[in-house]
Amino acid sequence: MRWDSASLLKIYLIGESVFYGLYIVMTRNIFILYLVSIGLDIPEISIIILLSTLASTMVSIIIYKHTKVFLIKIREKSLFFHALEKLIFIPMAYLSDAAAITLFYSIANISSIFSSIYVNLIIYNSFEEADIKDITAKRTIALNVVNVLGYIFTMVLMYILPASMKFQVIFILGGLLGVFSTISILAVKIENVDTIKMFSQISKPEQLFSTSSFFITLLTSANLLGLVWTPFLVNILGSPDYIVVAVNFAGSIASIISSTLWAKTSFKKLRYSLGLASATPILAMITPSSLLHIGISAYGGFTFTGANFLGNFLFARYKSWLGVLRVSILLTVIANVSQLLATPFGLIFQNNYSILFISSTIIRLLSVAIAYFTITEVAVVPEEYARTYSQLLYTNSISGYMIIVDTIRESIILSLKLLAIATAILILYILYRFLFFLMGIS
Amino acid sequence: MVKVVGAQINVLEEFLQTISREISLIVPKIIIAILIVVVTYLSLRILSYVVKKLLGFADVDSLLKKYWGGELPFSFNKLIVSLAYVAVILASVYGIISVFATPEYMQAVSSTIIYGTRIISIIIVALIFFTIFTLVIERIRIESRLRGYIFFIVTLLLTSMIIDVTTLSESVKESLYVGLSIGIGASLAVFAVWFFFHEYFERYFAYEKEKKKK
Repeated sequence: MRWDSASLLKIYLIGESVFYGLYIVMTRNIFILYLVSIGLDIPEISIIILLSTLASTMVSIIIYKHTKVFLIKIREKSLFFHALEKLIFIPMAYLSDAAAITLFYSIANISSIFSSIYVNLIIYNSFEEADIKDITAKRTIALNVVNVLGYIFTMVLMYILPASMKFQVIFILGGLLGVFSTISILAVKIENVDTIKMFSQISKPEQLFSTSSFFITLLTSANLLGLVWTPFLVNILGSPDYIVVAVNFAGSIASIISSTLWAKTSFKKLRYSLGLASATPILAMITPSSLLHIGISAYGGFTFTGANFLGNFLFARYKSWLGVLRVSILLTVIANVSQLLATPFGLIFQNNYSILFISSTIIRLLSVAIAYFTITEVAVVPEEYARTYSQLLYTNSISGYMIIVDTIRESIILSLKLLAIATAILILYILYRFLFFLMGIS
Repeated sequence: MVKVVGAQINVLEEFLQTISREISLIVPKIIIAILIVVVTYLSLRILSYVVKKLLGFADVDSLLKKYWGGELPFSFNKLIVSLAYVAVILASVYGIISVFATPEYMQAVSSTIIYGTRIISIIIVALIFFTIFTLVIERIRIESRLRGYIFFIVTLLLTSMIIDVTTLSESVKESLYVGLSIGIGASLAVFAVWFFFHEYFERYFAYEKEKKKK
């Protein structure tokens, strides 16, 4: 059997996803546990997460603004950061200083921006819409399978290794396995990098704004739910460890099964997944039995996969007028912004589970409303209405944003002007004090 | 003849000794004075640059125009810069005089400078009063009689400050203060009564007038 280039590329990308999944489970997923184990308290951990997320968001926005710079030596640069993201966890296992960990974790997050943009670029540049759906589904399946296996493997390692060296061993192993994900795409070359379309003007800004807003709110809600669900199971429902593991497994397995289903579904049908996904946070909050949470997690995994595909597939459709590069970067920016929005929120209300569950529900309902009323592909209203609502959302948000920016700018300028006046008067005061000091009058 | 010449040489020698002693005493003072002048010049240049930059950025006049709606009757920036110049020049003048003058003269110099600064402070207070007065007049439509009244009160307040810097005896100053205080207080009281009750008075006097006519 002879593989054609598209199939080979899909295998490379699935391989990347497999090793990336292993790396995620063995490093990032247990990172907070590691910080707790070295004696850092909640505020210190919060600052580490917040600063590193902020740094990566800033970098992603800078890349979005200066896309041409990103294209210079894109392959070498991206592969370097792809490997660095994984390898940086190896020295991190030997660190105990909060500032050093913040620096290393920020480097890991910033590197992940370059690597995820690169992988997105490979996918969106190499395939058409149907193949993008196919590879997204296959990568999601691979990621979830590896997630389950990696989770078991990590738990076994945690159990058998002595406490003094378990994080070092797991981080080193995770980092090295992660490098295999870089090796998986080493042979991939992005064709015609110089001719990648760079649209200076976005032709449908209102459509892009609606879809981005929908995706950001959806991912923010999911991140918030991820932050609150496990602590809620352990601290409020008093669930044993195996139930918590089962809840995660159920979510992953439901996601694997649903990926095959949602990948072949049309946009109009995908919107049902989004509507159904909005019930997950509130169901998790009101269900008192921890056993039932396994079912809710399966339901959540099943429906959220569809909603997540909806966002990715919409961007796959927009690549013809938005440009492959902008789509790739925008998806990374959206993921980072949603992480940045959820993290401080989760940290502020970390013990108030009801607020976090309700917030997650409200944010998810907002994403549903945006999608159902403003995105023409999935709207429940006639297409022309959706277009008008989208335009309204865009213009109102832009004008609101302009007012806020103007007010903030004016306030800062006024403060600086008052500071300048105060400094001038202070200089005057010092001069006259000096004069009186000379004359012996204190 | 030889004796006369010898005496003249002695006188000349003594004069030269005196003059060289005085020069050796005064030259370091002159050098210090020159140094003070140079430092003053440099300070003025640097201060002028820094303060002008700061105030140029702050642009108080346009700030007031934007947020208050009125304009100052003088340039705020120029006032601050002039005050900074005055402080530096006074300090350098005091420094130069203290190099040359004896301690008993210095007392008089200090008093003069303090007197000067008091006059400056009165000028600044007067400026502030008149600025507020102008801004209030611009913002609120006040009839000319009321405007005259406010101006009158401001002038009285300024007069009390001017009395403070005069060389009148303390008892005379005190009498003037008491007189002015009673005058300002009474004037404000009469004004307040008129301001709050003038409609009642007008109605009352009109009624009395009609009653007399009948």
